[in-house]
Amino acid sequence: MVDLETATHRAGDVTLVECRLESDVPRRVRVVNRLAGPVWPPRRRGVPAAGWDGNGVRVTVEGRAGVGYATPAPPADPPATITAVEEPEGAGDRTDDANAFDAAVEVTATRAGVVRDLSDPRPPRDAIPGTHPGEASSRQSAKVELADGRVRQSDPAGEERQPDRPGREASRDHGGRGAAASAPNGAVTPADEWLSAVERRIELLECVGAATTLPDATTAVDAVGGLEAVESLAGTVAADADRLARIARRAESLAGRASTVEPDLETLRQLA
Amino acid sequence: MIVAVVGGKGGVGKSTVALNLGAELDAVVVDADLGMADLPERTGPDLHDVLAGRADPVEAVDETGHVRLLPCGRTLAGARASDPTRLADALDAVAGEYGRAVVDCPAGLGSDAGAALLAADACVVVTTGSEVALADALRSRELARALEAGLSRVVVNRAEEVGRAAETFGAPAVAVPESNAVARATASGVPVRVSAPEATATERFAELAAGVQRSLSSA
Repeated sequence: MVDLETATHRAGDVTLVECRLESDVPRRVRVVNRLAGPVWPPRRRGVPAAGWDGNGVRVTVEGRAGVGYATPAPPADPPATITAVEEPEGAGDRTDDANAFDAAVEVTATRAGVVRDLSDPRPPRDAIPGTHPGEASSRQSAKVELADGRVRQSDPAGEERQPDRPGREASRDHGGRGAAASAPNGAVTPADEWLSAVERRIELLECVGAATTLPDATTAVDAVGGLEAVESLAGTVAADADRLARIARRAESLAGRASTVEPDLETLRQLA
Repeated sequence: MIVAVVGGKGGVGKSTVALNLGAELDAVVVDADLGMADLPERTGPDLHDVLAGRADPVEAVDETGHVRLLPCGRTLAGARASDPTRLADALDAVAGEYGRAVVDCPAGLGSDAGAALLAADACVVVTTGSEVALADALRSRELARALEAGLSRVVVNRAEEVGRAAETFGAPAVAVPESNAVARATASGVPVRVSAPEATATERFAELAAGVQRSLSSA
């Protein structure tokens, strides 16, 4: 029998989850996140520590052991549970069940489920240089950046392919996304990423809100990952709304100051 | 029709299989390995641009090579800015316009491989005969099962015979022998049918494509 005690702490927009495990005999256990958000595992040298995957951790417990992780999801009870227990390797012949333990893939077959339950393939932000010299490669020169932030291809024959062919209205809606807060050099900033994340959350919730029939509502709720996930998402979007309003006020104030600040450069040059 | 080519372990030949299967099926090959793309680069917008919402997926399909290709960017910043939740819509758009898409999935069981499998009608699992590759390929099959992408065929790459792959995976298997013809074609980024139409590997890829088509038409 393996006991699991959990505790959560909210720090800013992040929930920190503590798991204390206790077992009289050596046991290998899988602890899985139950909160409606991705697991941000402890990292060693920029990569998830051993035993962690997109949804939890496998750890061997002999006596007491502790694991912890962060997630953007709000706290709930329980934040994590044990989904599998086995004897550690070497403690006896591995059974078919033990092999199943390794092979089991826990994922909900929805778009939100895939992102929530599987590991994030993107490199960590720390791995990205502040400027992106790689972006200035020769192939970049074949792209034409449009005023709205989109990219299209220069045709070798000299005639540019038109990005807005008839019948592509849906994709046109994406035009300009992410460009609003881009750095002047076109690099993607953390502000871009945060705004994109907020936009995705709002879109998901809008899909739920737009459903007018039971089948549509069921599909929309499933796409988010269930009713609990929708409730959690609604809470996060409400918090987003507050933060966006604060940022809008600050942005307006900064824009006003930016447009009126006029240092007397001529005098400064004479003094220098 | 969307076919995902998965394999779990890196270096087993997923990209080679995807390129050649795409050529045989006259499909668009989508390089969905966001972090370590290895299908040929092309000029113009790529999947990073598509998944960042900056390019139309159909516009990003390059038709200039032997195989129509939606290439993937190479930069870490591009990979970081990509949103895997957009992959399914991008694949649907490409398959809607061109009829068929073959997705070269990344190694591992990340959400990018998951998003491709979720959108796919079927998958092809690629492995070599090594124990490590087989174990990882089985995990890919489990992920495909969980995401309801039916296993159409198993490819045992760099092998003369399929061995026990069909029994192990529960699906018909095709062996693609190691050959200079495949190595040369892969290095040049062209399907082996173009550079060596008489090679055994060309026959096997044709057999694979026919099998995939049969399994999808009977599904």
